[in-house]
Order: sequence, then C-alpha cells, then structure tokens
Amino acid sequence: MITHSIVPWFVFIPLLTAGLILLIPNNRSRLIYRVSVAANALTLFLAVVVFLNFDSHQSGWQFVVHRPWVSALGISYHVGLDGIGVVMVLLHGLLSFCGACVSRSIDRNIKLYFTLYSILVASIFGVFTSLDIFFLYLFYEMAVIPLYPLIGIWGSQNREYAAMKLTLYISLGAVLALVGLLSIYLASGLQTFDLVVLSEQAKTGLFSRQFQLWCAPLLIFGFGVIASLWPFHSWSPIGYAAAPTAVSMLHAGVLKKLGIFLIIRLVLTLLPEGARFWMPLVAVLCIVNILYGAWAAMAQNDMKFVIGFASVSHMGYAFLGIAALNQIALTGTVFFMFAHGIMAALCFALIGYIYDQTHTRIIPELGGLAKQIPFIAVCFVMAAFASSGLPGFANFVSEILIFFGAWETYPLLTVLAIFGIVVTATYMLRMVRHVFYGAPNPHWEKLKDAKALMIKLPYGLLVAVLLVFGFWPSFLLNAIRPTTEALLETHHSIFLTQAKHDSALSVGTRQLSHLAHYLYHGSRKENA
Amino acid sequence: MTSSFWILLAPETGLIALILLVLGLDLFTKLDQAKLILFSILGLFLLFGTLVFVWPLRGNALNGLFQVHALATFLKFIFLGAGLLTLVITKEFTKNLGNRASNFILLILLSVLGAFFLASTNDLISLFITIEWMTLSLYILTAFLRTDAYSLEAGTKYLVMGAFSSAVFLYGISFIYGTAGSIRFEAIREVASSAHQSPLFLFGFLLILSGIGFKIAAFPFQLWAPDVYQGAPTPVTAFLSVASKTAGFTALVKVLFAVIGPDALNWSAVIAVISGATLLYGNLGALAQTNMKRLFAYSSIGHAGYLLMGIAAGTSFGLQGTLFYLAAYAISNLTAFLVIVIANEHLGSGEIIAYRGLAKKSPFLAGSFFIALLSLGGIPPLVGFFGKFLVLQAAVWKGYLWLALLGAANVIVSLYYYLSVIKEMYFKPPVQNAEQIQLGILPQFSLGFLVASMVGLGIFQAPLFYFAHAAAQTLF
Repeated sequence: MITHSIVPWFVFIPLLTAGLILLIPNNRSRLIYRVSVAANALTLFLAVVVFLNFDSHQSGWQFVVHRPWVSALGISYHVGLDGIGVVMVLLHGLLSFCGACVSRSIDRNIKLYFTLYSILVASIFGVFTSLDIFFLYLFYEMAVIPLYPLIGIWGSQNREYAAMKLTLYISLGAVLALVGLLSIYLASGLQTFDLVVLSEQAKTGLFSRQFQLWCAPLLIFGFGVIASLWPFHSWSPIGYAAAPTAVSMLHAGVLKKLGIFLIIRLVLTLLPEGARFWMPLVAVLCIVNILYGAWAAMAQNDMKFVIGFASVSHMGYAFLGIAALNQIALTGTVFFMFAHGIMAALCFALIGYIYDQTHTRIIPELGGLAKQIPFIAVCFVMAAFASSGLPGFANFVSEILIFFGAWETYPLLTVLAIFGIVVTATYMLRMVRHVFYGAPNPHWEKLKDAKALMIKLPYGLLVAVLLVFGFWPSFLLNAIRPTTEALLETHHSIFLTQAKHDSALSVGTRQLSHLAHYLYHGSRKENA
Repeated sequence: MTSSFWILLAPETGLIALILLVLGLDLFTKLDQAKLILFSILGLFLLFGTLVFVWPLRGNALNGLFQVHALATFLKFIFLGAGLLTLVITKEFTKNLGNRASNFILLILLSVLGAFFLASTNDLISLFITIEWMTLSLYILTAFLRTDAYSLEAGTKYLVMGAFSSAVFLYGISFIYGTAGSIRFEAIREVASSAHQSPLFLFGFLLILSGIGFKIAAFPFQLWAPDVYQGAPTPVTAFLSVASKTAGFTALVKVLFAVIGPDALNWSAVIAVISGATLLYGNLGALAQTNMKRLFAYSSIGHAGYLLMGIAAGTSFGLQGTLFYLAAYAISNLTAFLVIVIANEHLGSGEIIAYRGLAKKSPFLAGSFFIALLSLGGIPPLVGFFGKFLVLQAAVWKGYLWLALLGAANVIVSLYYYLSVIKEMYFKPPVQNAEQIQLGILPQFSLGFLVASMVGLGIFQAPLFYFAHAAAQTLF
C-alpha cells in the first residue's frame, strides 16, 4: 500500500522545504513563496489521502511506523494516527496550506519567514503524529519557538511584548508538563516513552491513584496554557493581535488545539483517575473562559482582539467537552477542535485581508466594506454565522454534541455555557454590521476585492469545509467515534468500581450548584 | 592493561610536542603570529586523531597515577575541543594581542595540557596539582591585556580568589590525608564508606567541596565570576566558561564518585541544594545584565546549576546526564563566544544593545548565535535540550521533584534573557553603520560545523548519549 509509510512525510516534507528555501537566494521571493505553497499543497494532499484511507471501523493505531532511536532510554521513533490524530492532521494540512497562501503579503525577509513557517508546520504535524512521549514533547516545544521571531519580526502593534509573553507562557506550561511526563516515565517502571505501551498498561492500573492525582494537574494546566485555559489565557489575544496573519491562523486554528489534543492523548489515556479528580475544576474554569472571554470580546474595538477573545471563549467549550468525560462530549470536542480551527483561521485570514488593504483593524474606522469587497464580506458573514453556532456549519454540530454530553455531567455549567453562544452571536453580528454594512466610509472606496482564483482559494476552501462538514458531519464523526469510545472504556471500568462522586472537587462543584440554586431562589424571594 | 606507557599517553605526548614546536617556531623563526595560530589549530586538530586512537584503550601508567578510561577520554575530547575553538576565537582577536599572540596561545595550550592530566589523574595531590597547573595559565591570560583596567582588575580578582580557594582545597586534602592515611582514591573510599568517619574527615571533605565550588562558580562561591568573565579577553572568557568549568566538574565528579562514593556521607542532598541556589542566582542575575560577556557569566553560573543537578542524583544515569550536558554546553557556549568575539570586533562594543540589527549586518552570524542561544536555553531539537532533558529526568528519578520543577522554571527565566538578545538582533534596526560583516573562511567553517553539530546531536542523540553512558559507567 502506498500509504504504508506515509506519516513520517508530514514532518519531513516541511523540514525539507525549510532546507530548500534556505538554499534559494534572497531576491527570488516569488520562487520562495511558490515553493512553500507547493509544499503545503503536497502535505494537504497527503492529509486528504490519509483521511480517505483511514479505516474508521477500528479504534487502534493506523499507518504506524516504528524505529528504535535511543533504546537504552526507551525512546523510539514511533508515529501513527488514530481517529483523533487523523482529524487533526487534516485540519493542520488545510490551515497550513491556506496560511502559506495568504502569506503573499509578507514583504520583507521572505526567506527567513518561510523557513520558520515551515519549521512551525513540521513541528505541529510532529505532535499530532508522534506516539512516543519524547518526540511528542520535542515537537511540541519546537513548535513554540518559531512563533517568537515570526511574531517579533513580521508582527504589528506591540509585537515585541506580545511575542515574549506568548513564548514564555507557553514554554512555562511546556516545562511543567515535561516534569509530569518524566514522572510518568519513571512511575511506570517500564523504561519506555512509548505511548502505545504505556496506554495499554495504564488500562490495567499501572499508575497508583495517588500518583495520578498529583501528576495530572502538571499536564492539565501545563498543556492548558497553550489552549488558553483561564487564568492562563492573557497571552493569547495580545499574541494574535500582534502576529502576522498566517501565524494567527495557525495559532488559533491548530496550536491551541495542541493543548486539548495532548490532554486527551496523555491525561485521559494515561491518568484516568487523575482526570476524573481534576476535571470538575477544569469545568468550572472553562465556564469562566466562555463567559469572561465573550464579555471581553464585546468590549473590543480591534477586530483581531474580538476574534482573539472569542477564541479564548470558544476554547472553553473544548475544555467543557473533555471535562464531561463521556463519549458524546469527547467526540464533540474533537469535532469542535476541527470546526473551530477552520472558523478561527478563516476569521483571521479575512481580517488579514482587510488589514492589508486598509491598514486598520479598528472597527469604528471601517464601515460599508461589503460594497467594495463583497467576496470577503460574504466569507466573513459565513465565518460569523459559524462562530455563533448556526445550523449548517460544522461548529453547530460540534457544539450541540458537547452540550448534550456535558449536560449529563454538569447541567448547571452547561446552561451557563449555552448562554455564551448568545453573547458570541451578539459580538460577531455587531462586528459584521459595523465593518461591512452601515454608512460606507469614503476612505475605503478604492479597496480591491479578491478576484484571482488563487487569492480566493484559501477563503473559499475554508468556507466550503465548514459547510461540507456541517451538512455531512458523519464524515468526521465516523472516524472519531471508535477512538473516543475505546478511550473512555478505561474510564467506564473505573466508574463501575468506584462510588460516583467521591472526589472532593466534584463535591465542590455540587456545592457551587447548590449555591447558585440558593442565589437564584433567594433573589426571587426578594423580588416577590 | 598491557598497553604501554607511550601509547596511553599519546595525546599528552602529542600536545607536549606541539607546545615545544610552537615555542621553537616562535623563538627561532620569524613566523607571522597569525600563521602560528593557524599552525596550532592544525596541531590540535590532528591531536583529535590520537584521542580517537586511545578511545578504546583502558589502562594505567605511572603506577596507577595516570588512568585511561572512557571518562578520561570523554573529558579530554571536551578539553581539546575547547582548546581548539578557543584558538579559533583567538584568531579573530589577534589584533588586540599585538606581538604577544604567541605567548597567548602557548598559555592556552599549556592549560589544555594540565586539563588532560587532570582528566586522567587518580590521587588527590595530582588532582590538586593539575587543576592548579591549568588555572595558573588562566591567571596570566585573564590579565593579558596590560593596558586595559578591566582586564587587570579581573586578573587580580581571579588570582586572589583563586589562590584562596586553592589553599582551602589543599587544606582539605591535608585533613583527608591525616584521617585516611592515603591520597589514593581507592584507599580513601574505603574510609569514606565505613560506618563512622572522624569529624576531621568530614571537615576536610567540606573544605575540598568549597575549593571546587569556587572553580565551577557554584553558589555560594560564584561572586568572582561576573567581573572576571567581563574583564578577561574574550577568548579567555570562552575558555574559562567551558574548559575551566569542565575541569572543576572533573574534579567534583572524581571527588564525589571516586573518592567518597555515591552512597557515602549523604552528599546528594547538599549538592541538590547548591544546585537549586546556583540555578536561581545565575538565571535571576542574568536578567539585569546589559553587557554580553557579563550576561554569559551569569548564564554560565545558571548552567553550573543544571550540571550539578545531574550530579546531585548520585546515580550513574545522573552522571551520564551531566556529562552529556557538559558536552552540549561546551559546543553551544563556544559557538556563542565565537560569534561574540567577531561581533565585538565589528561593533566596537560589548554591550547587548550594540547587537541591534545584527541579522541585517550578517544573517549567518546572527543565525548561528540564534541557534546557539536556543541550544543553551534548552530548546529542541538542539543538543542543549537533550542535556536538560537528561538532568531533569535524573532529578525526578532521584525523587528531587522540587529541584526538577525549579530547573524547569529556570528554563523559562533563561529563555527570557536569551530571547531578549535575539530580539535585539532580529527585531530592531541597526543603530548606526549597517554595512555587512564579512567573515573569514575559518570562522565560517567553524560556525557551520558547530551549528550542524548542535542540530545533528540534538536529533541523533544516540552517539553522544552512549559515549556519555560508557564514561559514566567507569565510576560505577
């Protein structure tokens, strides 16, 4: 089969591209751009091939490649995909291609830009495909560093501060998680970093409950930083606002999902009891994410800040989905990561287009743009609908799944989360109204719409993907479901052996909901 | 065991021959100073051949005083590499040395020779002598720029503090000798591993630790380092931060693992605390620096903290981690200093602010510095990452979770000041003259090779990992 050893190429192709770009002379900037787009088109093609060849009837690892690396330490080069990985690879393939396409507006030091961009793309593919904890971490940390120069050199307002803050926050989360990962390696006593071996053993109760309880927060909050879990989110809107378009797209679209992805892959699989203990706290924090992020987005003037806070808010749904610890919500979360990734990237791409033309992102300074740039306006309206969870878009399906799943575990919190959708619709539609409709600003009469096919392609592609998976979600869901099912089997066996609400924190949430009940009834009495 | 004296001492003999040759060429011919440096670089390069040759050998010479094993060879590789690169760095610094460049390189070669014997030594007195031999050259080298007040201040400070710490070291040895009745490592180890030691023995051990703490600039003996690093001629700073630090760690490893033994006297917790304090001092101190060499002085104190972390574990694995880290640190730090010396010559200033816009003036130079700084910061896939990975793992393994977390947090602190340098180079436009910096063949080749090895060893860790493994095993 052609697809037999396809997975390593997801990392090799971008790395080879980076090497190739370094060899091209600095003044051949069009050539550099074309090479980069072509390479990303190739990886997108591979991602589609892998997705179509993925056998969605089984839950195990597919397309596995396994080579020894440092065997004395139990490190091996082990890559492969499961239902979650294959969806994320497809997402990243799509976004890295679109990101490369919209990078045509980069005007200085193009060689360095695309070199760093390729390294970033390669490392993210590396995280999604690695089945060895060492390589998983290596690629994760490797993905963080190119962001620093990418934002610092090609960014806009406040770029130095934003780049430093973003890098340090995410790296701090990463090293905390590293200590957790090393503890897992040593606590297992198996002398291996192989995730497949470790997760098989974890099902049989390899890690003691006590170990899981202190190790799980290192990973949950360590990786939670990159997924902008409240209160570790403050790097994120500033970072997006400063970053160049393609980096904002990849960051909001894929990098944030790395955090959720790694929590699913490492915490839920290896530390089920730790997850069960800590997830109620995550559920409470993620509601703060949803509501606080949405409220902050309401107050913004800058389009990128609106979307930045919106993505902080939306990541709350992903956290709610994993915190629910049931199959519906988890499947919804994986689907949500895909749908939100596409939607967020689309928003940033469109804002980037508008900014390149107008050199402003301040909402009151814009207005009536729909007349000059109808194509962009239509795409943006679509993105706003998707963001507000309108039926017909992939986001709707995923959010519904998360809410249904979460309702079982945290009914009260779910109600609060659903309220976030209303706020989202408010700020998204308000932005659409102010930017694209209303009184046209004579300033912007000479704006050019996207006309050429190659310029339209990235935006059109992303809108199409949102619609396709919105109408036929089973394409993705069939691939995801067996994996999430198998993943939560471990949890069910623990559910059965333990009392249902034993952890101190779930007691804490229950008390919180009592408190809310009390406040609600109390206030009614006062009214009466 | 049957390898003869001359075969075992081939690297040392070769180095002595080289020193005599350079001395002779300097005295009796009118060879250009620059050519003399090139000649020494070539000589040291050829000496790698002898090291490869003795690599598989194991044996004793001089009645067991001189030992050849994997650990000694591993360390000699670092010393030789450090010496070689210091000469490459010196080549870029020749202008400031006037007609005394030959003295300069002779002193460096002598220092490397001392370090070679240090790596192979097997008793306390020769340990003391070889480390002093090495440092003596460094006292002169630090004060080499006779008209520069900073250099003289650095030299004086280093000499006074160094002499004091040597005296403490020697005083400690006298207590050990007095209580154990021998200066041979094996004999002392028997005393150390017995159930009850005399308090005088412990006192002696403590004094020796303090003496070595000075050499590696570990907390609380680190105060001399920033002034000396800043004032010394840049090649000497490079040599101090790599070769001299490696020498200190050689002594520490020998004392802790060969003389005392990993399980005796519970020294592990002491080293762990020193490691944590050194990490904090170095990295927090570096945050406020505006001078590049001073920044590297503090950062190298921070790195000593990580190196100590592996030792604190007191296991073969921890020692292996420290050795890997040493090699990774040597490669990365020497790359950084090669850039610094070239940049300082062109920019006319050693302040960090002068590095503004370096990426415009020389993308290659800035790129190499970028990679070296990331490697020092422990970013994958560079070699420095795997070193940090190993020492953190060793600390977790030993149960020092607090130390591992402290080490992890310090990665972020160090990342902040390394990234700040990158910020100056890449994010800011050049201050005044924006003309390109032209690099010679030798620095270009060296930088290319060093960057390739940082990336290569970072991805394919196995060769260095197993070499460090073999080296660590010799003491267990």
